Amino acid sequence: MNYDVVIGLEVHAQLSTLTKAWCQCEISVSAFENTKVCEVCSAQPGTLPVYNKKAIEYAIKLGLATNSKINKVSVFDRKNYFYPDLPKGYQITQFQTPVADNGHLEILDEEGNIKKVGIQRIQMEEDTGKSSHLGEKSLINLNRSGTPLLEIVSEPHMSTAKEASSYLKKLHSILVYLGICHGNMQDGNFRCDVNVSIKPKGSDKYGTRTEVKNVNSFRHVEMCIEHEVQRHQQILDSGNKVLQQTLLFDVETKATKVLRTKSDADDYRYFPEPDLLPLIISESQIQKVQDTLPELPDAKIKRFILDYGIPAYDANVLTAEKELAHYFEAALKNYEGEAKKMSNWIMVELLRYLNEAGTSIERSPISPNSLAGLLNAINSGKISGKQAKDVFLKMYDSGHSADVIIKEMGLEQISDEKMITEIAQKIINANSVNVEKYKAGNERVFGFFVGQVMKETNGQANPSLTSEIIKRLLG
Amino acid sequence: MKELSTENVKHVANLARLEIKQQEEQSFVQHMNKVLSYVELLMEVKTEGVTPFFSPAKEHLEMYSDEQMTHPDVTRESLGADAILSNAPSKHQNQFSVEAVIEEN
Amino acid sequence: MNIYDSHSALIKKKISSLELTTEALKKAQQNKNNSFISLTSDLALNQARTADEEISARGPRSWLHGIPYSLKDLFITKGIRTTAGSKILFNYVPPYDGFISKKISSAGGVLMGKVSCDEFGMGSTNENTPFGPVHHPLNPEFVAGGSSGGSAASVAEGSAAFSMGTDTGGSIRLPANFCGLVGFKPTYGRVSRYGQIAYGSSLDQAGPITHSVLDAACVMEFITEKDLLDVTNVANKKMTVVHELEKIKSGYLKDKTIGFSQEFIDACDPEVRNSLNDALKIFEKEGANLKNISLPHLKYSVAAYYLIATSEASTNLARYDGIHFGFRDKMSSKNLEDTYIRSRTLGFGEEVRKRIILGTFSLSAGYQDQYFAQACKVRRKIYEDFTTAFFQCDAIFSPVCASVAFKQGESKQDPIKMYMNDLYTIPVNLAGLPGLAIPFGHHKGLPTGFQLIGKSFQDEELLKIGHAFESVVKG
Repeated sequence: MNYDVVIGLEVHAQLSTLTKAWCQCEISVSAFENTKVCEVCSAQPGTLPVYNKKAIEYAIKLGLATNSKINKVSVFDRKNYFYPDLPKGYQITQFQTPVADNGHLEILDEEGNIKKVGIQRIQMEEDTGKSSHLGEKSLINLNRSGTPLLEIVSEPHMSTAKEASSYLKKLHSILVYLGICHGNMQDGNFRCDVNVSIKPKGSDKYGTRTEVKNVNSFRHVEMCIEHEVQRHQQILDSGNKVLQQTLLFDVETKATKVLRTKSDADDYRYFPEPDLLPLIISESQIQKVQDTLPELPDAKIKRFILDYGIPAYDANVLTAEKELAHYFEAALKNYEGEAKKMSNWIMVELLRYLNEAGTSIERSPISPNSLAGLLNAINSGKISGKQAKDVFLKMYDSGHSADVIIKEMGLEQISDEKMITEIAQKIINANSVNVEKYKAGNERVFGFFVGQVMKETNGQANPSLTSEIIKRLLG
Repeated sequence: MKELSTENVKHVANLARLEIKQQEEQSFVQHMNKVLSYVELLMEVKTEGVTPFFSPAKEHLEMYSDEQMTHPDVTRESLGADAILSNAPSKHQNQFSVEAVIEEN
Repeated sequence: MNIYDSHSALIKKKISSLELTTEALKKAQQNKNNSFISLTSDLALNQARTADEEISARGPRSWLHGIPYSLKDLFITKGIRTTAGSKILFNYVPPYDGFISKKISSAGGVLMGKVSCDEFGMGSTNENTPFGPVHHPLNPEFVAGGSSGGSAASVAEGSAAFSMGTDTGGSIRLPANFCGLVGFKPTYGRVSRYGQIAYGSSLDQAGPITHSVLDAACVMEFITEKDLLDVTNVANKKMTVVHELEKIKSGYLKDKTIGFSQEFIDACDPEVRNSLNDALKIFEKEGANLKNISLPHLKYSVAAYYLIATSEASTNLARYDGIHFGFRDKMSSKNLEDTYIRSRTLGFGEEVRKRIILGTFSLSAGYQDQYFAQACKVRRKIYEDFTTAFFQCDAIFSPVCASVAFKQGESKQDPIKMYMNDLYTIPVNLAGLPGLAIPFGHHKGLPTGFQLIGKSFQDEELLKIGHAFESVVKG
């Protein structure tokens, strides 16, 4: 049986505001337990929530950046359930009217074509505290309680694991580009819930979906989708029904395991939050935010392709991170050659070493200027392409500029015509036998002369110039 | 509307993490049914096209300004772990402690 | 002991705050009406001594400086036990200070202690409490009214010159009425709810119980400043009305239009009815126009209230979970669910549990439209009735309660009958209007009185009308 795969993604992005959603406690990943907590975020009796001005601005930013409609009036609701890390016994969220909806972003599908993935809604809500285990007890730390979140719900428009991870990467980069989310998945800044269902090919009736919660890397998202699709297929093929369940992805076994089966304990009894007034967002407020939007990934990609003449693939890689795009453009500033060459060096060489070492582009030991310097040296013939690779490595390890390393290594390519001519002439004069051989039609012996000049110059003679000169001298 | 059974009422109680002891069952179920029967009165009122009134504040939005509904993104000192945990029934090294959450398997 | 006269006496140095406080303390320690849950004798004496020093040096800084007062135990007081009249907060000592506590303390009031109330404000007789019922100050077998019974009793018995209560469906006005005192519930949003343990968030307001309308105005001046910690609290509406009241004579009532419904008056017990009719005659005699108005949806108020208030309460009380603060059963629980259930079932009293269950049902999936949402729609009809009526009058005159205070234990019999005590006070909370209970007359030793209802945010006008009436009666 052939199946269509339907994937929907819910992302919880922690906003990078300094203060929490409803109070002015500092948001801190590293603080000691329960030291960034006040009466509001610990739900002491008698406390009330107050909107975080910045969080609203960030929500509008994301809405604009994803082509969403910003709702002029949005209301907050209480989502009621009992859990130790939720001290109020309800979460303040937006159920009925999210701050923005009906947006989309663009990804490249398997064939490399642009595919629009719809964004159903963007809603503002708050994070819970953290619980950890100690034997038979759970320990609760409320430092994270009340951190503002944006929940971004996609339309179920994705049909492969790769499309899902492309969407997530694009969304992630937009959030970071906007400066509204730190995007550190290890710290839980960007968390994904993956919804998967399958249906018989061509059918328009959706199958039962399962939800995998809190998948914390793009690779794991791909893996859990592949696993779930296979699992659903097996179930349906054997004539059974897929159960609507909430699952967790086990990184060790690379399989999903059941967290809970849907029951009416999931009745959240949503109703409008009486302690908050509706959020009214004016046209001028939206315009103000619009004016502060930075250039976003898609626009940057288009511009890179147009202005620098690099292929779409390169543009996509270089703009995946705002800092990387910035690095690329900074490097191009003092560079006199083809942008494609710079792109290659960054993608193939620089990123390789950075990724291996787990270093971010901001901490690259080779600065954009230095890299430009290296490429300029190649272009001007100062060093050869082959030598450049060695210089690069030394630059990476030491942090020094290309010029310094080239001098250190004594690699300055000799492009002094007069000098090469002198040396070449000397060698020609000393090797009359080979000169005769060449004149007699032996092409191979040409290499001998080039080789000898190289030997004399410790490999630093400019090879093409050397060939030219020898040719001339030999007549 | 039909009356709620003891099971119904106990189920609702459980949603609110409350237990109804056997000796209280009659009192609780009777109370629920008496009140629910009384509030059926509300069904008499014609409310098609009437928007719900959730709060007097929401009906007087002109009395409120943006500035006064939001807090600036400036941090304030928190209360400190001691104060936050001062009323905790059970704690362990600056964290609240409770029986572990059970997850289905 | 009232505020205004005591204040004059303090200025004229006829009496000291310490003397006032010592007198009040005697009554408080006797506690013959069981008004107090927590007495703060040492604090009171210290505050009185400090007040005397300050008054001696620079004169009183406010109407309340040096004046003994009590706080309903729903108000959060930092470092001072706050129980909400419940076992579940029996030993709760707040780590923060609430708005009312802060304001009155900074105005120089002398805190006598935290007074009793129906648990979490749920009740109209102050019998729903593990601390024992509050007795009517004139007859210990009778109820003082609720839920601010302790507040009314402490003012009536002289252990406080004024008390702060809270009102969700009549909880200030009813006990004031039963005990022969003035009780004022401001327009919703006039007074910050920060630090007021929540019952019905869209209904709750704090207000004073005092010996006179003038005294109530003295208190209101200090609690109507904008609090940035409560979004629903309005700004720029600080009351400064005492000086205006001082200038008012009875002539103020001439040509005011007082709306009333004979139907409501006739529905009362005879002793109340007589008192109401007599009061109306006084308004007429003073030149006010009496206008017949109707509030056709008033009869649905109790039903609407009991769905709305309990729905909001069911979520407001979800934070009492035995984990972050409050009661947890000493017996160890098998698991987390057990902790929740045991703490809450043993910690909450019967009436509170019943209301939580009702509210939970009212919000639950499949029932919310029929119950909670329908109640909110009817609430709008009630609000519209008032808007219409207020086109024709400046204030509405009504009973507070159809009967005078009754014997303890009577209300347990029929829940609906008990809820009907609030028939005339509830609609005022539903519409968010200001309501003023004014004592007038006695019957067989028990006080009677009436209610004046004002237009939204025109609390000052309501107080002026009320004060004008009192001036006439006091001669």
